[in-house]
Amino acid sequence: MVTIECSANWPKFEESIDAMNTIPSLDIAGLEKVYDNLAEAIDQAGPDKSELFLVKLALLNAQALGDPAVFEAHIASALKDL
Amino acid sequence: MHQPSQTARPSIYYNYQVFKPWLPSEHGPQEQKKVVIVGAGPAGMVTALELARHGVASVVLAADLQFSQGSRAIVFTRRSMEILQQVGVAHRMTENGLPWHCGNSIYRGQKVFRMETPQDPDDRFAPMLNIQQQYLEEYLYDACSANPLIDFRWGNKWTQAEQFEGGVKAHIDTPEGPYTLETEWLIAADGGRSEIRSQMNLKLEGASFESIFVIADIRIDLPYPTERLAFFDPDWNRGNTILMHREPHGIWRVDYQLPPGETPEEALRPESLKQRIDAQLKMIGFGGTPWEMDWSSVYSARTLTLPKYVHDRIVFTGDAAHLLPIFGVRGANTAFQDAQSLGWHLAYVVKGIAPEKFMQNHSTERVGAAREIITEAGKSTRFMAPPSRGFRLLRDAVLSLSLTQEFVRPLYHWRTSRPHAYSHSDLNSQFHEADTFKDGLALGAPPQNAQLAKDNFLLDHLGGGFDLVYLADKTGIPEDIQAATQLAKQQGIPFKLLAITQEAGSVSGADVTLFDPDNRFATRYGVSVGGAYLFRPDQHICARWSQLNAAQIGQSLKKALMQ
Repeated sequence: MVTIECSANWPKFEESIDAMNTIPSLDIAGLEKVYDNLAEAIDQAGPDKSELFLVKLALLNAQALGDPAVFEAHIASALKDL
Repeated sequence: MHQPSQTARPSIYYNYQVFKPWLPSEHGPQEQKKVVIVGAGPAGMVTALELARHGVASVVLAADLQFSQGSRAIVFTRRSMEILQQVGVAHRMTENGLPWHCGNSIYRGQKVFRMETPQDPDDRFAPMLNIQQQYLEEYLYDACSANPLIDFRWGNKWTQAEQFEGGVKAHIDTPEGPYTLETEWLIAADGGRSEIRSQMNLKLEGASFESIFVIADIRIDLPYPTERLAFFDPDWNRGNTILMHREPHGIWRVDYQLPPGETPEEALRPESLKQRIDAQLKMIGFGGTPWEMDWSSVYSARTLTLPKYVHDRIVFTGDAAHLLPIFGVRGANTAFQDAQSLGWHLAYVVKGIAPEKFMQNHSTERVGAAREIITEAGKSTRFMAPPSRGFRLLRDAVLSLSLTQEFVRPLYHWRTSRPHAYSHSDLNSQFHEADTFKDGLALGAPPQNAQLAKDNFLLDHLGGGFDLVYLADKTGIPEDIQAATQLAKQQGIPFKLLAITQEAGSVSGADVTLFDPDNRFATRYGVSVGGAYLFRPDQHICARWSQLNAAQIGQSLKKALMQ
């Protein structure tokens, strides 16, 4: 039997409210659309260029985000559990 | 026995003169010297000229019998020109050099970034000036040989230094054999491969990058203006960077990165050079245009410095003290600032105006400058020659995006060498004036020029000692300020009071009156009548007043001299 404990990593209630106030999030339909588009674009870029494509995309997203600290948090999240 | 070559170096544009060696048998016994400078490159000669300006004699040892091989440093910044003006050679540089103020970055045939730095009417010199290093060395040498305080010795090779209490014994080899010379101070201006540094077993700190670059000077007729051209990831040299600069006499510097794994020996084979230069010319649309090779060499990007430059009575300066990457023209341009700083610090210690610990201030200020330059240069180097897969991916992503996305283009900015501000220097006096200055120059800042009249600039009048620049009106210099400046002079401090005024006629009580009808100084320095700036002998600011307080003149001079 698996016990699920309330982890310290879980966002605190206040923090998630705060995040919702400043950064718009995707609804399920939106997330599914991003999922499909990104997968197809990686295939389109091909194995030799997909890495370059993803870095370009990350830079464009970072520019739209306009917040180096949030981007740094995204880097930390994405580096986890690789 | 040291046998320097008697054969003039080959060059298609520069006529090398072979000088006669200085031989000990032709001179009498050698008394102890104040300063011996090992190395007759830009750092060594500017140090000698600055020392002489402050009244201190020196011996300059040149191992060879002629100026250095090839163009080497070719781009000189405005601040370098201002320093060269101080030692009397700027006019020869501007007569023969090529000024410029624009740079271009090109990717896939498209100009993705262009930087224009127009010349401000308040500046005497252009942002950049291109001229080959042999000319610079010739002009500096002419100034040295015209100066009775400089004893220039061709064909004298330093071999060993022994430190003793209060001095150094230098062993020197010549074409007729060795001799020794005792000196109070020995300056190691012996370049990037400094033997003095090696013999003292001093370690440079910092990073070396693996990429190797070739620099080649060719004579070719290309219809481009004098501007920086940087080509990224061209078809003929994928992933790598090529730089091109125009030099005087129809010479172009071509600078390209080598693919990983290629050795310098392979890269410098004539057929290898020819193939790559032809490929570059073809890419820019001038394939088949005839060209002739003058000189080629290789270098790698390094960001290294000694952690201190003063070791008892041996002082390191220029490339002997630090190795900086070529991107951003940081080698010779940093050396001028080192040499200027060394010149006045050492002169004042030798003359007893400042205590010996003053030399530690020189070291702290210049090591701080080198570390700042290293941080800046590291950024350019990571873009020009990415050191890892991650940096390469990011750089390539930026290249690709830059064709359509404006926001990434500033990453092409190459962060050209700029003078370091000694913001935290122990020599600065802070009189709680910060809140009364809305703008103007901060403590420790390098100077800004101001055009007072046609062909008459503020910096033409500064240097050689401390300069108190006071903004005056027709009431002249207040008596308490006159008294304070007299006192400083009586105490032996090299010092002059310059009055800047919008009104014609000389200001009584000032050593120099500068007529500034358009109020350029006040505008640039953010002061009004009664305000003043104190410039150190290297023209950096060490005190400022929105209203000059006579009692603080002496205090600030004492602080600036660690008295």
